[in-house]
Amino acid sequence: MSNKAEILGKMKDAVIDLDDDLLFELIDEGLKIDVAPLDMIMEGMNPGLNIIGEGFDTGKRFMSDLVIAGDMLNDATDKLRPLIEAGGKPMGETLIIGTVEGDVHFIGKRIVGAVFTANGYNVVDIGENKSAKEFAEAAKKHNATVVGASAILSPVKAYCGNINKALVDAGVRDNLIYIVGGWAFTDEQAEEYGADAAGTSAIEAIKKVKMLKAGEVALLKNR
Amino acid sequence: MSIKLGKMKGAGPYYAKSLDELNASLSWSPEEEREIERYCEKIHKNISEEEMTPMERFKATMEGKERDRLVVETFFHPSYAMRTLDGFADAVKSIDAYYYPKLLVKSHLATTARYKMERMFCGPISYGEELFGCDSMFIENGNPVHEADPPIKTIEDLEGLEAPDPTKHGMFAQYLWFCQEMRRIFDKYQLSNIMPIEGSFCEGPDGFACAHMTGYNQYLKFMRKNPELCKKASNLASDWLIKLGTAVTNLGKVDYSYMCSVVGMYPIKGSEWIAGEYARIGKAVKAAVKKPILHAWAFNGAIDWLDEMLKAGALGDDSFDGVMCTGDINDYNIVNDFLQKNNMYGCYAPSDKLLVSGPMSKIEEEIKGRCDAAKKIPNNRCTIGLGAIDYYTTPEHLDASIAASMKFAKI
Repeated sequence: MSNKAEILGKMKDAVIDLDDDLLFELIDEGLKIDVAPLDMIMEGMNPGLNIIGEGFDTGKRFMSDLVIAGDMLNDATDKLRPLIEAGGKPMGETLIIGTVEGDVHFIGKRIVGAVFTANGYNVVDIGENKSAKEFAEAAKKHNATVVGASAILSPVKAYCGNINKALVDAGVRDNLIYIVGGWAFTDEQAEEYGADAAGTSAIEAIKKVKMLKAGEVALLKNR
Repeated sequence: MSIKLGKMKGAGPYYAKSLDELNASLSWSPEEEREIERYCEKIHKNISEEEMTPMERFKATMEGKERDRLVVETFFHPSYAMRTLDGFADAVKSIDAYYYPKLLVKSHLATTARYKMERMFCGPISYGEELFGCDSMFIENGNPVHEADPPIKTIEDLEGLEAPDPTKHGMFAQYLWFCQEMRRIFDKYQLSNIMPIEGSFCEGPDGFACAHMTGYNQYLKFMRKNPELCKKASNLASDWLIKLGTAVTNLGKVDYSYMCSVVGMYPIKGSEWIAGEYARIGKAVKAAVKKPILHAWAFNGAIDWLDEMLKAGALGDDSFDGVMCTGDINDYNIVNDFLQKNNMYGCYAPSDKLLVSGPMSKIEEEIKGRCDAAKKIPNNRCTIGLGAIDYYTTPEHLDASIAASMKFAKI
């Protein structure tokens, strides 16, 4: 029987190879020898997803790889979440993510959710075509530390400004990082809409959030 | 065999009316005719500023003959056309054009006139969201979207399904009316011989099956785990695209047309069969229309498919005439070399993200690079493109981009 390090290494490879059957076998094997579910996600699957994500950003991996890997991670998290919560150790900080009102795209959002999950976040996906009020209510309810708004259709990008206002009105804006995303978002647009950053890919999004948290990039309120 | 359409929530008054019904019910008031006449006058004025007409330049390009400069092709969504119509007031929305096809006509005439475009681009107003049973809905700012999950989950779900009829199902009769009406206007105001009209029959067999039959994530997983389902779904999608591609030229009366493709989204190994579907579409549509038809590529990985497409017959005189490379194709020089070597059409468009964010120096640098690539061999069949122009591309950036294109496109 493999030990923890071996299982986590094989999980990373399973994600890189897009082998979901193997990944779930390894999850079962890991649980038998008491590998912590959160460790499986962060130390096993996350490195694999990072490699695919960075490969996609540099043109070495395909969009299909990212979509499949993201789904694998989301499915694995769905399986492991009850165990994580039963263990009394929550997933970590909460990301609220949704697609803005007037838009129903979700593929990129799901990948972003998977990447954040792999980085230890508790991801609450509020769905598509969501109002600013729904974003703010979710952020408040879940004590979110990050809110991500996805807008693929260009005409609805400006709605991200409404979300910022709703977060301010709900009294939560100062306590969280607000990041917007979508294919053609620029940093200037993000700032115009009151967001701390724009991410045009999942890997870029997690990197920017990490940099904002570490103070390597100033939050909008401090610029 | 049967046609199984999904519901379309929020559809406008002309939705699912047949082409004959639209022709019988849509007409222009004297005020609207005057407006149309003025747009056409301005288009004439724009054309008179150069020696070669756009049609002469287009024909020279497709025939590999001498021309004064590369054709500058501009691709914009109806949402951008409506911005031009309302002067960027954010008042009139895409949905208004999808409700009222006459707005589609006017907005495209206005945009072509305003920006001195050199062909009438009739972009798609629907990708066929509901055509194989997926309940969908109109939205304010774009083409319709799905309201439910796409319905094809097993091979059995495909049994008995037949491709719909673009002259009466979904939004396609409106689209055909739009193209047809543009031809009527062009004939009336003597533009038909001097400016081409381009139509669309998006998306490709894989893109269509992904988006509207199985769902993207599912299709991509099925490609590995249940390729037979992907093949059958794409085959049915091809049946539809052949009907649409034929109708767009033969009924819509456009001078040339394009079909989007998502090859490059997934690895080529194990997926080579999809090139056969593209070939089936290309050969069937070309045989029926005998006018140029083109691929439109968005993924950089599509470059790996060039040889496969050629081998399968998805590129060639009896099939698709070449490839439009949209902005995310960074290795366009590789595409360019291939298309020039095989005497095929090529179009190279900078990213519309760049047209939004600028700065102008970077936009010009990118446009120059693509023009230089396209001009490598004299009398080739290559053009420069702009687009798909993002909603937030400012008039200033678009004006400057078109001017830069025309400058660097000179031969």
